[in-house]
Parts: sequence; C-alpha cells; structure tokens
Amino acid sequence: MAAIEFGMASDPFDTLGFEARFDLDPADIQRAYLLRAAACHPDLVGADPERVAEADRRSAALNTAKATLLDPETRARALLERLGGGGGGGLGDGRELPDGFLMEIMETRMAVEEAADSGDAAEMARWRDWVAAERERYIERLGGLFAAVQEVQEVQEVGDVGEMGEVVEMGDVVEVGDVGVKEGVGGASVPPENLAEIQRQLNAWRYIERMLEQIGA
Amino acid sequence: MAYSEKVIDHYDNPRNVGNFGTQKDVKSRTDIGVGLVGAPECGDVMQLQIKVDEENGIIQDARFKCFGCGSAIASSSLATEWLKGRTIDEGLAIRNTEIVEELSLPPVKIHCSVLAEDAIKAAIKDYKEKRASS
Repeated sequence: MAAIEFGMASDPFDTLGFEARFDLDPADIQRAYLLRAAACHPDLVGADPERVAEADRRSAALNTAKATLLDPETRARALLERLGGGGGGGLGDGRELPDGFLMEIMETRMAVEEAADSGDAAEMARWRDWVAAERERYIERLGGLFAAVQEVQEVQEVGDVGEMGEVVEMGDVVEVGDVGVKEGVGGASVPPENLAEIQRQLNAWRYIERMLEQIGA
Repeated sequence: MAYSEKVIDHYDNPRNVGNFGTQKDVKSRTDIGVGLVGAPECGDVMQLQIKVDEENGIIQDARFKCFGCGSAIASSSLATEWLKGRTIDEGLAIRNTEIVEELSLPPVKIHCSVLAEDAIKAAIKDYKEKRASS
C-alpha cells in the first residue's frame, strides 16, 4: 500500500493532476502547482505534527513534480517512463543512439573547440545559436513521437477511457476540479519500437543539452 | 563536490590529448584502433585511439579526446597512460574499478570510469576487427 502511494506521488503528471502527455503549457503547470501548493501552506495545515509533516512531504513532491514537468527534457523522460520505457524498459539497454550520432557530435564538439581556441567570437556565437536551435528541434521531434504514441493509444482505448480517481489532496481546502481527469495511459500497450525511438532521440538530446551547458550563452 | 587531487591533476594537465588522425585518416590504418563512446546519463562523449605494434601486439601509444566533466577527462587521460606498453589483452583487463580507486572517484562519478573502460574495449575491438579483415 505504502509502495503504491509512493509510486503515485513520484509520478509528476499524477502529482500535478495532468494527463500524461508531452505538450503541456508551462502556464498550466504553474497554475496546477500553485493550486495544490496553497493547500500545503502552514497557515492552513495547523499545528498537528503529523499534518505538518505530511504537508512538508506533499510540498516537496509538488516542487519536484513542477520542476520535472517544466523542463521539456525531464518531462520527456518522465513520460517515457510512464509509458513503460526508459532505463532499458523498452528495447535494448536504454543507451542506444541514432546511427552515426556519436561520430557527428564528436566532430561538432571538436569544431566548436577549435573555434573557442582560436578566439573566433563570431563563430562561437554561430555555434551557440546552432545548439539552441538544435534543442528546439529535439523538443519538436519528441513532441511528434509522443503524439504518435498517443494516437496509437487512443485507437486502442476507444470506449475504455475513464476517470482514474481523483488526486488525493490535503484536507478539503482545494477543489481539484477538471484538471484531475486522466486517461488510462498506464494500461495501454505502446509498441516497443516507438518507445525505443523515443529513447534514442532522448539520449541524443542529452548530448545537445550537455553542449548547451558547456558553451551556451 | 570536490574532485580528488589526482582528478584535478589530470584535468589541468591531461595526458595524451588528441588523435593519430581524423576518423577518415585512420580508417585504413590497421595499426590503429578507435573507440568512440558516450554516456547517455550525462551527455559526455569520449574518443580513444590506440596505436599498436602489429608484430607483438603491444600498445605503443594512445590518444584521447573527451568532452565531459573533470572525472571523465581524468578517467580517459589515465586510461591512455595505463594502456601504453601493455599488450592488447592486458589493455582489455583494465577495469573501471581500478580507475575509480586510482582517482578516488565518488559513487556519482563511477559512470565516468565505466565510459573509459568502454572506450578501451571499443578501441581494441576496432583494432582487432581491422586486423581480421585486412
């Protein structure tokens, strides 16, 4: 029982009452967070140590969930995990990359280093633009891959979509409302090759993020 | 997180940085093996090249290029030092745990040493495959 509760709480989509999907609006994420965070406010929780401790746990879970969903990369990872992939859950060992990717990124990194070493500011600016644009391309690509998975699931689940039960809230302070509706994503079977492709693209994306961390503006 | 002195030393003065030529240049060289590996956990990428004496199978020289954190750079730098003078079989025997021990890597950086071990294996495999098909 405790394990199930923990599992539910650690899924950022459940925690913030979102359907498990990639195309979430950051403003909606903030709103869902604030709505729920208010219920954990010390003024509302009272002095009962157990309730205070529970509110602290819930606050921490909400903060983690918000951070995970706001960052497109961690949101994609959480969604892949939710779909049954990730960490070797799909095909292979979860470390695969698109063909030739490592070679490309190595050559790119060497070219960037050359530009940095030669003090070519204009060339470096071009590389920074390139890596930022590349990040956007990955966000778009992953969005397309997740949308395709969602279509497969919707076909499978016609007539089988229901409300999975409301998110458990602290006390009665907050009405969860319609944001608590979720589709039965966990139950649908996603073709493993779709998950494998998502994993490959997600792995490649990490190298772009890494480059962005190291040379980004 | 504080890096150990040995990591900092390798990071500040990496040994054997570079290559024996671009991928294209060394493709037809049967005495050179290239290992290119990446760590999806962090996005680090590492290339290791070994130059082998084809008469006796002893690794004469090694070069690396690593775009990653200090621990990844130190692990690959150390790997090139250890590889020189070893036979390819002795090279294959290098374990990431030895790198962890030598550099005092903390648990969160163990994957950097794994990356170096993977690079060694990949470079030796490439060398063997080139020899077999030549």
